[in-house]
Amino acid sequence: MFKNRFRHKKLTRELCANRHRFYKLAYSWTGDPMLADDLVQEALQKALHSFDSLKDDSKLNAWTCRILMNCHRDWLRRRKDTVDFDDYEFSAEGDPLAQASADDTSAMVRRCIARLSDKHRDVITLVDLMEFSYEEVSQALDIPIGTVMSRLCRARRQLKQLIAAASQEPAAPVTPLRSVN
Amino acid sequence: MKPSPCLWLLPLLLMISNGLQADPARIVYHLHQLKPVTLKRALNNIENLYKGLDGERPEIRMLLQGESLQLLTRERLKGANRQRLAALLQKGLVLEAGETNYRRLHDRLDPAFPARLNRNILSRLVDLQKQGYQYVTP
Amino acid sequence: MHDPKDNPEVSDELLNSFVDRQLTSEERQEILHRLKRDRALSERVCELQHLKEMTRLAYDDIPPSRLPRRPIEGPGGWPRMIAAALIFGLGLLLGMSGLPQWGSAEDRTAAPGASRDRISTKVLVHLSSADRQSALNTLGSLEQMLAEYRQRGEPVRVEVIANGDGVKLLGPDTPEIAERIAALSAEYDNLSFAACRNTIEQLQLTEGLHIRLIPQVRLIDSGVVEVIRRQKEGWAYIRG
Repeated sequence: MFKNRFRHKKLTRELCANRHRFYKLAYSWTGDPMLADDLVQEALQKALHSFDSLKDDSKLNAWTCRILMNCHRDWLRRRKDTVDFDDYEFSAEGDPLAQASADDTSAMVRRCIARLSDKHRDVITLVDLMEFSYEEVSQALDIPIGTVMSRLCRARRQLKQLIAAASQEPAAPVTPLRSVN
Repeated sequence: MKPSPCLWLLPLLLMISNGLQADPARIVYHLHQLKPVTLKRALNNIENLYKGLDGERPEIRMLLQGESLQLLTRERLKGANRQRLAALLQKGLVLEAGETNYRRLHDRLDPAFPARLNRNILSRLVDLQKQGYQYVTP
Repeated sequence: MHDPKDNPEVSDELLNSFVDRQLTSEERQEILHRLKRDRALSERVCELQHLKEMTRLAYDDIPPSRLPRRPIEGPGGWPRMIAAALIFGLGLLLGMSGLPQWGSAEDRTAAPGASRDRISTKVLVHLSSADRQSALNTLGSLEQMLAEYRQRGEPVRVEVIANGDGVKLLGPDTPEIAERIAALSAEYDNLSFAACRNTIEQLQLTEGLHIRLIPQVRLIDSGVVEVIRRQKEGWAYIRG
């Protein structure tokens, strides 16, 4: 019993220590701070109550990311049931940075990342925001490591082109949409 | 009245109940000056930290503020110091710098030693200490 | 894995792996070796690093999470309560065997620095050298940090404490620093400056220096005592 409690305590502590990173990841998908908060809270609660199904503690972060992704997908499906997805736009309310001036580099880069395909955005954010190893990305996305590498390559190439193009034109607000497969 | 010896069992029981476990040692090493001895002293200190804290899985970050970032330029980072720093990166040392300063020196910096960039290095120092990092300077 | 020696042209995948620190130490060494000789390769690595940092930095100043600071509660409420009850019971039993009296009233002193200050971020900047450029850099970074906290709506308190040679920078003889301090003090009421009286008296005795301080700097008895005390109270510490 004590051994299990030690393990739960340790895993909980590690999850809490990484909470801000999960939040950044969720924000990169949604562009909405309140929604990102809700998704992270939901994902962490689910993770905390499912430690018994985590077979390898070293995969905690990748495992929790998958839970977070599923939470996001579930949320998108629920929205799709009530809202015509093609017409839906993520609200920029509560995000003062959405009103940032056109030459704000961070906002520009976020807009470019939002324009990447889901697969490219997933792999770039897991590597650069979550600081995952390629092995962890492979576990989180359930794809081979070779695919992680090639996808990341193409993602960065595409992002570089988007940033170069955006740097030369007046910025237009882009809504971060995610498709439901 | 002398305290009962059984009283000392109480903290031990509390420790068992709370499942205390050692967290990795977290250290932020802050440089902000460009004196000739700065890098050598920093390398000595950090190597000693890795040696002395080996059982504690240390997480060490070297934050280079202001002119100290010039220590990572090609002209200054050479020979034995370069090798020692490369070895420390292999052990997990993370280099960090201020974004504006980094871009200013970009062309002169050795690309083999990338740094994590921060909007504001002081804010970063505060945040790391809030996360439990201990602060050390040469 | 890839061996850089096999193919003279280093692939994008390999370079991405290098930038993301996913190579073995031998592969990494080989790339490091090539970077020294190959300018074009250096530029490719720089570009990738730049892109990586831009991505990471793009999310550094997003609206903060509003999730509660305390740890998320997990399952296990009952075992914890039982353990607590057991310990309480054990404590009672032990207590019957003879606990010392709590200290008398005169032994109890107020917790040092027990403050009702609700500001959660407190920063102590310690100036102990007379390096003007370093001090100016620190003041510049301080200004950015204060502006950042103000923009985020997060309260912060900053105290700059000077001792040792640092006190030499807080007088009218260093006008560029004096002006900066005056401007910052006028702009931010959560920023204060203090100089060590012990140091000033010592400098007068040993070096014959008469240190004058600008009006924005107040005197404290001992800089080093304040530095230690504040850290014990949970202030973040920065050497400037």
